[in-house]
Amino acid sequence: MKASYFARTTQHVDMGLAAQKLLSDVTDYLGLVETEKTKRLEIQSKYQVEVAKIEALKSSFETFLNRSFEERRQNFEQLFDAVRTSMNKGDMMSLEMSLSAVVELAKTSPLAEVKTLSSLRSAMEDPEHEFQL
Amino acid sequence: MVLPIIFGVAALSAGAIGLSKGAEGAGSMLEAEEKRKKLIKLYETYQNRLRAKADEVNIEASIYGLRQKQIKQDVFIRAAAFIEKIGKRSNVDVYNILCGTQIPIPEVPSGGGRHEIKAESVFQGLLSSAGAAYFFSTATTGAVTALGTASTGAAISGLSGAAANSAMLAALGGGSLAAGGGGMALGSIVLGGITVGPAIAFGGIAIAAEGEKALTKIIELKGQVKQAIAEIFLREAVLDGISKRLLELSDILERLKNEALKSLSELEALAESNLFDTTSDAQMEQFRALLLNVRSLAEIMRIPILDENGSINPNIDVVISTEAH
Repeated sequence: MKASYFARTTQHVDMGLAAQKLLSDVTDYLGLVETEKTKRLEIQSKYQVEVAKIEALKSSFETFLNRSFEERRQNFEQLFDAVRTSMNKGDMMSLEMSLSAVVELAKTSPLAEVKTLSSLRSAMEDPEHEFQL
Repeated sequence: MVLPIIFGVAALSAGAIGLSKGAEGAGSMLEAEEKRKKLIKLYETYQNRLRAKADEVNIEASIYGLRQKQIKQDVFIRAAAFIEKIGKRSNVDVYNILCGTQIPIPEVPSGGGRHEIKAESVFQGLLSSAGAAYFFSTATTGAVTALGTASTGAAISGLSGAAANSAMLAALGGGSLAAGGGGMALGSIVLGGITVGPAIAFGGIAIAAEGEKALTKIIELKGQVKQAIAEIFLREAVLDGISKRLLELSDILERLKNEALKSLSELEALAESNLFDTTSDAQMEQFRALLLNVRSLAEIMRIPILDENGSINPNIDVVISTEAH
């Protein structure tokens, strides 16, 4: 009888531990579901912000380049008209000035200006940035 | 004998929930894997598109380089020959001829989004399953042993060894065969079900948890792919800019070359006929026009397509390769 009583007692102890484990696992699972949901929302919002930043940069980059190259195309047209006229007239002073203007304009690159604009935008976004005057 | 029934129902319910959760978790993992493959494929499509565009611009840069070489030959070397012919000396510079451009292709982490089930969590699930199986099994057999009676009418708790075991299984089977119950055979099946049900429950919850993690991983990958595609579009815009710049400089080179060649051809013809006259104002103006055009060409030839570092945007460094010629 004593052996039977002992066996039943140990079974009750095991039953209690197992029930506790069961409850704990279910609670952990429900907690994990909520945590993962929150994580997903945070991830989605983080990437939305990143993508929006890149898209805005691309958009301003394209707009600036298109406008800039078009303006430059018109300016080069005018300068080469002046080059031709100077050549035809044999006006070397005017030819030198026109060619110099062509070279100076060609040296400035809209791509380099974009870099400057981009740096300026970064500086504007940085609250700690100090402009050296 | 209500307790074994309670355990049985509880075990069955747990098993049913476990099956449902397990199926849900497995479904989530399969769905995540499918989405992962689609996202990687989508990203690779855009990556290849960018590579194709980068190759196009690289070819345009090489063509610009060939144009530079041609101008050196057609204008600079030819003008130098003319100057030598009229008894003067000249020097032709070495230029950095454009060979090509390269742009970095954005990458997503290799194997990104793939959810690897951790051995630790599976092991914990298995431990829980084993614990639950043990719990329901021992609880049921314990209750039947403690409270049940054998077909002889004797209390099972008073029996021992094989007799106690047989009586317990028969009680679980709804009584002995002779008494119209399912006997030991059915009892064994019932006990098996009671053991397996909770095991399924724990296993199912463990799988469902892994499914949740897999879904989160896929959301992360989706974000990474979206960002990488946006960066690809930005790089395409940069390549368009480089292409426009190459076109602009090519056009200027071509126009200056034509102006220079006009003067050079006339001067060469005069020199060929020994009519070149340094005292003629008109011829000297022609010679000056040639020098002005050639010097302008030389300055344009020296202009780098981008700045020295090839940097356009703080985040994108384009590699520009040149060779001295």
